[in-house]
Amino acid sequence: MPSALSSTVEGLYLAHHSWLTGWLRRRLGCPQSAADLAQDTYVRLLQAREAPQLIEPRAFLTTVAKRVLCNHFRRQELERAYLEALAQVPKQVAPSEEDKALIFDTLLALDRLLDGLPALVKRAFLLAQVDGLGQGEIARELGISLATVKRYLHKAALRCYFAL
Amino acid sequence: MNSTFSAQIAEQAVQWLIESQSADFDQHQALQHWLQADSEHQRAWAHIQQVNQRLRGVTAPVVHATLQAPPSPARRRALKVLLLAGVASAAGLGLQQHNPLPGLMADYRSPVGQRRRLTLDDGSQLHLNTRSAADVRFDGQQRRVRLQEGELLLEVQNDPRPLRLATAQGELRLESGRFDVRQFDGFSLVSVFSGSASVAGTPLLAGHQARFAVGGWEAIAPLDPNRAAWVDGMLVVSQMRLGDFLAELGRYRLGQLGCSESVAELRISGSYPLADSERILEMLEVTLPVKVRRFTRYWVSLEAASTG
Repeated sequence: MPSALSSTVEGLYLAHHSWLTGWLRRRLGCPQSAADLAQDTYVRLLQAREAPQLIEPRAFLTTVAKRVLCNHFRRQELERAYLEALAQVPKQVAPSEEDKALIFDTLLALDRLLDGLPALVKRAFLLAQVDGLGQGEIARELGISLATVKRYLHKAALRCYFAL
Repeated sequence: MNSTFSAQIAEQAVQWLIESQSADFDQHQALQHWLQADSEHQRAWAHIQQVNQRLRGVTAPVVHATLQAPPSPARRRALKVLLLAGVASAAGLGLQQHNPLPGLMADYRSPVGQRRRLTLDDGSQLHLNTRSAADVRFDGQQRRVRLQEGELLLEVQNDPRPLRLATAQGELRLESGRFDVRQFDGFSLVSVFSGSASVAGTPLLAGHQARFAVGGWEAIAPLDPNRAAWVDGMLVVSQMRLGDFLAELGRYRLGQLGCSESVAELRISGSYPLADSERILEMLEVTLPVKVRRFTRYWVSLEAASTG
């Protein structure tokens, strides 16, 4: 029930907000980011399907905040790699400033979805759906059999299109 | 947008996606049946196409460089929380609108860099050039061919049934002869080597080429005899701008092929075997003052060779 959920999150917010912000600040060393990530933590709780159990509220908040923190670090890492990649792109094909931000959102989402898949599975998927390579070409490129390419693509596609 | 699907339908849709992308896919009708069987199937399929459209909007080398950068120690396993769907619309990314199922339902299809040759029921020969697709429907009364995308060459046999060739602009009637038809944005280019092709009763005679636009024939000109060299695996050009040459060559290759403005106006003539476009690029480095620059295997640009 959304109302029960939001009132629980509100309770957590009121009781533990400054503690959580402090916890994050110690790990980030940056008050501005800590406030943002504390916010993100509550947003994530609000997006959850069920009301959180409140036996150990701080332990629970810490678990969620750790995930938010991981995503934050990963995002910074991707951002750096993205800017480096863009610097290599010749001017005439470089995306506009506006598109750069939107493309980064896509990359971020893609990275999260493909996270945890073996490197070759990821690579096969990107070659197929981003580069538009045929399955035979992917097999040659990665030095694996066609059947394996299909299995990899299947696995990555379920994840990427349907989060399964 | 609702992007929740039953696991079973998701599984089937992914199965179809992987199959339809395999080189020897010939289950077009079965895929059509599956799509028509349930609106949920169509929704799942459209969802995949939308996500793919988004993925294609991102320059491939940037994706690889970003997502496959070496991880830093701070990296830990992140959550797969975000659904890719609905983060930003395809329109928002400035992507062009495509048919949701581009060319997928064609009877015959040739992938990038490959050609196909087919003998039709009446003995006519149909050649498909790189990245091309066509439907063929013959019955007791008529012979119909539809060019879905790309380019075809038809060697039409004499037959009491008329042969009608449809492009995005409308229908051509072909008398027995040899024809090259290529689909461009907004028009198709028709070259008549022998026989004649007519649009609404107006013929284009052998030895001519013209644009077929919605209004009929345009820009009628003498035939470029090298137009059909691709059937023999050759690209034959005479005094062509390098920029145009690379665009032409790029049709036969995966990835991006282009050049800087400073060399785009250089002229090039010769016969080039399409089977090995890498070799053509090497030859260009010898014959023209250009240097091939590779950002990745699939992203190649020609630039002025530095003097001295």
